Amino acid sequence: MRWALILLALATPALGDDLKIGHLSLAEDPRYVQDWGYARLITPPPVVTADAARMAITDLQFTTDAVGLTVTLDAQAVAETDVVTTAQKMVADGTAYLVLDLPGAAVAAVAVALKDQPVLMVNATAPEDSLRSACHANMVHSGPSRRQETDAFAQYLRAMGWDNVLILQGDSPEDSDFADAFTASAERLRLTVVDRKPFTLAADPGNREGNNVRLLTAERNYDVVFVADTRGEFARYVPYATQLPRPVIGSVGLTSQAWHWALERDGATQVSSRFDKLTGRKIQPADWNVWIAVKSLITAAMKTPGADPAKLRDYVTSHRLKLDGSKGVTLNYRPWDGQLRQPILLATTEAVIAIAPIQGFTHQTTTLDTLGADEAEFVCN
Amino acid sequence: MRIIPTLCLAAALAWAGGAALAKDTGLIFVSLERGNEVVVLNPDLSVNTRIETSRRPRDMQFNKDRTLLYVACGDDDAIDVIDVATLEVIDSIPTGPSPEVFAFSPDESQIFVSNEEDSTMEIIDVATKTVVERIATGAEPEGVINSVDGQYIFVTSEVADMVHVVDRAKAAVIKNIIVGTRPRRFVVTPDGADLWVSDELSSEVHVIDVATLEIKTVLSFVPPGFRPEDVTPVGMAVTRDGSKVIVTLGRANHVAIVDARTFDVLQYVLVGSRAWDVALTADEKTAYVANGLSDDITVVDMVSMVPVQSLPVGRTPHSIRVDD
Repeated sequence: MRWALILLALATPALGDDLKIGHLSLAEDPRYVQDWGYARLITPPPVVTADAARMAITDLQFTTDAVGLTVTLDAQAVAETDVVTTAQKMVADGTAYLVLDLPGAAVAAVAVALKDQPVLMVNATAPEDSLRSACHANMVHSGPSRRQETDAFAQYLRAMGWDNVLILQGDSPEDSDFADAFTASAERLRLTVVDRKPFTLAADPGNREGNNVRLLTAERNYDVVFVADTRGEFARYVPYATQLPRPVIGSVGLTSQAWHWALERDGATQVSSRFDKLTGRKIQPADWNVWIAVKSLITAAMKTPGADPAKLRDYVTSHRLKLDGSKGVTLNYRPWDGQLRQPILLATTEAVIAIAPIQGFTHQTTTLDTLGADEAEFVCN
Repeated sequence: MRIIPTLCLAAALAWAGGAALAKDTGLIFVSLERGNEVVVLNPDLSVNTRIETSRRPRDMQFNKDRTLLYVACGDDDAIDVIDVATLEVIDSIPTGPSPEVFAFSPDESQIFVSNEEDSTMEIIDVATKTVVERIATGAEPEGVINSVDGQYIFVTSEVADMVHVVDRAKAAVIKNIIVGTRPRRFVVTPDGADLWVSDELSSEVHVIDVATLEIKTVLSFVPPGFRPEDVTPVGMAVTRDGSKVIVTLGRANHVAIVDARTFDVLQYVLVGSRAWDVALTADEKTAYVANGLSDDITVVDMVSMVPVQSLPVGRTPHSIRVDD
């Protein structure tokens, strides 16, 4: 092998810049470490998205070498109580670009703590729309917002003619957010929500209307059941158990994702295979979110030498960024809410069934803006 | 899969048949990435035969006298060799993981192949079927082509957004040229002066001056009614006189016919879904376009520059070649 030959690539003029990227996650993220052995769930291997950050750096090394950009990664996995102090310390130590793989509440806390610091943060994995409408000046969001996910569902239901939706909703704030986002998406495309019912996991015989799937789905007329259950413990019992024979979507059945290992168009297979080879596990949507976050930072840094976080944010939220996420179209971030424009996959555990924007849904600037909060309706809170 | 004799035998057969025996059969070969076969169409577009190949056949190249057709098969890590006279696979050359696009050296003694899953370009000696060099590239290398004089091998890296210039004598990368987003394929004009590179995701074609290895111009394509982001250029073909280049525009479902001297788009022609590769007949009156998402090919009349026919060929057409 002639790996030494890579050095010749340095023949092009060097900028001699350094790009230090931070990656902050929880040592035990409840979203990934699902210790539910008692429930006989097949749990995926722990997701360590720092792997995806490393892959992005390796993927682009040929190019960064060619322009003389040195990229380093400082990955920290800490307890939830230490998140804010760790983030502050990373910035104090010279990290100007910080990728956050944290639950929504922790992202919000870090955003507030670092709001006046010279840092550009990328929220990679918290889907809360409230983080977008908070309009943090030094934050963008690479993972899909809830609203992008639910707009993808709404387009699919509209295209399939499944107009009447029964919503079942769990009791966590995340479940309620998910159901709210879906309801807003349904309104946008004039779908009918026939009912929105809370469910409970407790098998209390006095509350059968709230814990028995057949009774919960005893409505006379619905085309599809949308389950908002971000923990997934209830949702998995809903398919094939509804009173009427209807498909189930949301947290189970057909789900809405940034990425899926089975995606095989547009170079997606190569991304997933490289990840398999690097980590020995199947790529998860959170990994793609972090990979594209780091890729966008490096791509922008190469195009705007002498990187300054504020300049980089301007660059990534402009049409000058033409980011390749192996989803068939170029990606960039929306200037109004910092959200990455991207296609959303509608997938089962085994296959990608459809990719939104679904053909036929059009928009005056880019069809990707049919997913998520659009400029005209967006307000900062 | 039938992989019978060695390549020496294959070469001997070809030679015994007479090296100058290109028969100009007019047969059209289409590799079907998910059909694991190459479908062969007669000039009247009826199906002649379907040749079972190794899995995931993609790029195809004839040898110079068109007695053999080589097919890169991505899932079996091999380049299959089809005898054009008998329309059978007669040999297979092992490669690194997931070969996609390849080119022959001018004397046909070597094959240059991109291995998209391990970020290398291999140089394979055809006679011994052994890898003689492995050259590291940026991630997801794809397009491979020679300069006409054989001095350089050009390779795209889809992830690094660059063209690597490999000096063949040194077997070393001597320059990286940053182009548009997700560069895919090449054509070189017959005079050897211009190297065209399609940039799938930035909707462009970069034209590189081979003499200076600098970018000469950048073309962009927007068929009427489309936005730039809908336009994903991939495969190209150039006329023998170097006057025109046809560029497939992928998801825009069109090809662009470009004046290769003025760089003006002469016409956008509507074809099938995700037009991906294109080949010209010898008389250059007809172009065949492979459409990856609609599983068909479109026949384009090059004189009137209109599509005249589409016909289904099988699952995921990748590359298309004409024997004439």
